[in-house]
Formats: sequence, structure tokens, C-alpha cells
Amino acid sequence: MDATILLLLLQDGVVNGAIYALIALSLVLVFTVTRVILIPQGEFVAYGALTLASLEAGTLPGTVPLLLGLGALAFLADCAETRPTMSGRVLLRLALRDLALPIVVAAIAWFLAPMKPGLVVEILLTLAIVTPMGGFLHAVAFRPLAHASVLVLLIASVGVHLALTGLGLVFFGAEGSRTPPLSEASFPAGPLLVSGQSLWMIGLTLAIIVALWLFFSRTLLGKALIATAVNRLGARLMGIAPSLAGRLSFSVAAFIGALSGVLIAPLTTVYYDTGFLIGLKGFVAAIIGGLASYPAAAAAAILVGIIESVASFEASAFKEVIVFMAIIPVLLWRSLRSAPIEDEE
Amino acid sequence: MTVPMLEAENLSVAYGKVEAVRGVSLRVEPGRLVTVLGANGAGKTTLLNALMGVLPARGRIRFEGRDVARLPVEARVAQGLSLIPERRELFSTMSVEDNLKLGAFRFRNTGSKGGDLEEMYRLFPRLAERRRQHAGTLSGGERQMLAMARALMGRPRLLMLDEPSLGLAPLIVAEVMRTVARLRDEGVAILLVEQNARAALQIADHGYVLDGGSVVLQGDSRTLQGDARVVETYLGTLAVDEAPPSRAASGR
Repeated sequence: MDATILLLLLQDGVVNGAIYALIALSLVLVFTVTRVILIPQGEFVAYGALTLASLEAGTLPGTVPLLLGLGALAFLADCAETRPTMSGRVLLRLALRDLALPIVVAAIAWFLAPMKPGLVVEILLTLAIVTPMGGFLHAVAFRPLAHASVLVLLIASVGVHLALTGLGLVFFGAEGSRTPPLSEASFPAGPLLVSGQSLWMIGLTLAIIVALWLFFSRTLLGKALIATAVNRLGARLMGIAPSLAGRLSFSVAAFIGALSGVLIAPLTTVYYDTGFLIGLKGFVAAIIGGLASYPAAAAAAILVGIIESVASFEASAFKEVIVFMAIIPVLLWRSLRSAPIEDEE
Repeated sequence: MTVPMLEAENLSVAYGKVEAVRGVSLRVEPGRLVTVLGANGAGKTTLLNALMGVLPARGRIRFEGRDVARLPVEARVAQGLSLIPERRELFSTMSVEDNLKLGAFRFRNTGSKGGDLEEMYRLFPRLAERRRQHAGTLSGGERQMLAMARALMGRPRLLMLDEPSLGLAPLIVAEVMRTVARLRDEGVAILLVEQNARAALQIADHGYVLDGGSVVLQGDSRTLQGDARVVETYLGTLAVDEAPPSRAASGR
């Protein structure tokens, strides 16, 4: 392996690592706020990519009926949850959020999809379709378990992942899809050729990181999320409902997942079950960061991307094995270094 | 007759089969300071947690005439009920100022405003000096100040305090008690749970004595201060200073 190849591999690793970083950040966010290890994060990625591909092809994406169905289920779950404080105003707010919003998004998608409105509109539409699913899933599958242990939440998470993968197969079929790149441009940089697509990926990743940082440090809602992560009871006593924090963090995760899907769709053919492996690599990075530190998770994600690209060059058959094995020394080091972590808050 | 600020009727809380609070009834009138006394394990903290909705309870709880017994914690906060728990439950990795700002979270979507940061810094000057510091780095007294200021940012109509003197030096205890009394004078109804019975009775209007989960005695604080059983059990005959009895220091 000479220097040029190494540079190429590094470039590849950093670009993939950017996606893993986005996923790792949302896993850390969801875990610290709700204690849920969000296995279905990869499904948001696949849904984002496949939804965009459908829109590209001028067809109504399969995620649209799924969004409507999830919204209806979430409406029922929300009604059950808010029964003690139910009033006309509450019911109206729930109906707007769980029923009207998906219907409006679906109507826009149904109207625009055959017109092929162009990549930018299609990407925005994709984000609008997938993002609300995060909050709906939280209301349907996780909020009723809010007091359960981390293990029970993990099992529920696996269940949701399996369900979403199956639904992905139903709605998108077994064929994979690919979308055109965000930019056809490429720039020579020494021995390397930097594609516009990879610049978009790194740029958008950085933009999301900055946006998250601003959200957490400058807005009361962002601080409320951190407060819930730091001290759940303290947050409740300030009137910050765990369900609000949970819904918000799941929505952010779904948004980031969908955006990641949009970004990888031009690079690789995405199938209904592709998301899982991508999500798992983000998970490796999040674990290296201890499921608690955002900067450590992001840095680890870049490392995972680089390990993956070097491994796929040196020993491509063992690519995944090597990536996932990287987690073992980290877990060893972490468990030797830290006192046993108590399961519950 | 005015509507009581808080009224609990026949309230019971059970941990599994053990009843920690048995059929307690109490009321807090608007603008009054009511204290709940009792030894360790008498059910004081459990009672407050049940009133706040942190623990499920049987019985009736009315806040300003409205039934709140089935509402979750957040909905009770939204109505103006506030609890400063024994462990304070601060956001330790966040700055003092962020802790205070989050205290006003319940006004986020309403037209009205929460408490004023500058007002809190006037009330608790130490917090102003430490506004950028993490809450976790504060001393015990400062933590209690922050917990009180954070609760006040939510402009509570009834403030419940669980052992605000716990683990604090006598001078600080006196300061905390003065602040609590001043809040009452400003019109906030207060329910104060204390092991430091002497300090609590000095500022309270009315008191309840809890033993084994039930109210065994109640009356206005002057009567309680003179009651032989209270003096013997909770005040001690020799206690002359503000220091909490040794029970409080060792008890947790």
C-alpha cells in the first residue's frame, strides 16, 4: 500500500465516517434522554434513501401509507396517555399533530411525486415524510414502557427494528435503489479526486453538528433535553414531561437518519435492510464514546469509517468482522477503567 | 371560607405491601406556612412525593379546589405546585444560570413570564457569583439556594420543601429558614417537611406531626411548641441552639 492508496482510503473512510458520526450522535441523544438504544435508527436511513429514490422515479413512496398508519396509531396512544388531562384543546392539538400533519405531507407527496419536482424539493419531501415517524414510533412503542429497564427497552427496540425492516420489504420490495449524486462536480486535490458528493456529505455533517450544538446550548427546549438526560426527576419537577423530551429526541434521530439516507443513496445501492449494518457501525462509534459523549462518538465514527475502508482494501472478506471486532478492546478498556454502572437512574 | 390551597384527604401510599403513609389528611391555606414534623421513616418524604405525583397514592388531593390526584407530575407543576426534593435533583453538569432558566420552563408556551433571573440573583447573591459554574461544583448551602431559586423561577403558588436544612451548617440553616419565611410573607403558600423541628416551628403557622405514616398530632405552631409530647420527642429539653438534633445529622 503506497501513500496515494492510503490517502484514497482515508478520504473514503472520512466520508463514510461522517455518516456514521451522524448516526452515532443521534444514538447518543436518544439513549441519554430516553435510555433507549435505538436499533431502528438504521431503518430511518434506509427509509430516507428509498423514499428519495421513489420520488426520483416519480412514484409515491411506500413510506407515505406507513406514515399515515403510524400517525393513526400514535393518535390512539396519545389519547390513552393524556386521558387524565383530556380536553377539547388537547384533542385538537393531538389530531393536528398525529392525523392532520401526516395527511398534509401525504397530500403534498401525492400531488408532487408524479411531477418530478427536482432533487431539492424531493429531498425536503423525503425529510418531511420520515421525520415525523420518529415521534410516532416513540408514542406507540416506547412511551408506554417509559418506566421499564434498559434491557426491556432494548428488546422493544429490536422488535421495532424487525417490524420496520419487514414493513420496508412490504412497501419498497426487495429491489435496491440508487439516486443521482447531489453534485456531479469533482475537484483534483494532489493525487486525489474529491467529488462534490463527498464535500456535500462532510459539509452537511458539520452543519448538523453545529445546528445540534446551537440547539443544545442556545434554546430552552434543547436545554430541557439535556436536563432530562442529566436528571429525569429534576426535569419532571420543572414541568419537562419525559414524553415531550422522548418525542423530540426521536424526531431529531429520525430527521438525522433520513438525511443520512439521502446522503448515502448516491454512493451505494440501498435495500430495505441496508440500514441495519449502517446503524450498527454508528452504534460501534457511540459505544466507543460511552453512549454519553457527543465529541467522542463523532471522533470514533470517523475512526470506524477509516478502519472500514482500510479493512475493505486489505482484507475485504473480513471487512465487517474487523470493524465490529474493534469494539471488543474498547469494551474491555471501558469495563476495566470504570466502576460497574448501575442499571437504573 | 376560602378554598384551601392544598387539601389532601385520606391519602395512603404503599411500597408493595408496606404502607408508608396511612390515611393522612392535611390542608394548607393560601399564604400560610405549614410544617410536617416526624422522625426518620415517619413517611414525610413519601407524603410530599405523593402530593407532587412522583409516587402513586390513594385518596384525594385537591389543589385550589381542583382534583389533581390523577395528574402526572408535569401537569401539577403546570398548575403551580412545586417540590424541592430532599436530594435537590439539580442539573449538575449544567451551569447555575441554565438550571435557573429551566426553572421557568413551564411558561415556555404561555403568554405569562416566569421568574426573573436578576431577581433571583438579588435574592441569592452567591448564585450570581457562580452563574457560569456547573451546579455540581456548588457547596451544600449553595445547592439548596439554587434549588430554591430554580423552583421560584416557576412562580409556584404552593412550594413544598423536603428537609431544606439537611446537611447544612447551622448558620446556613438559619438563612434558609429566613428565606422560607420571607417567601411566605410574599404570599407563597408553603409546606415544609423538617427534622429540625425547632427551626421549622419557629417560622411555621401550623404543624402536623407524623408517626408511623399517620398524623398523630396537629395544631398551630405555638401550641405544638408547648406540647409536652413534641417537646420531649422532637425538640428535646436541652437543645438551646439552632443546630439540628443528632438524629438529623446521622439519619438518611
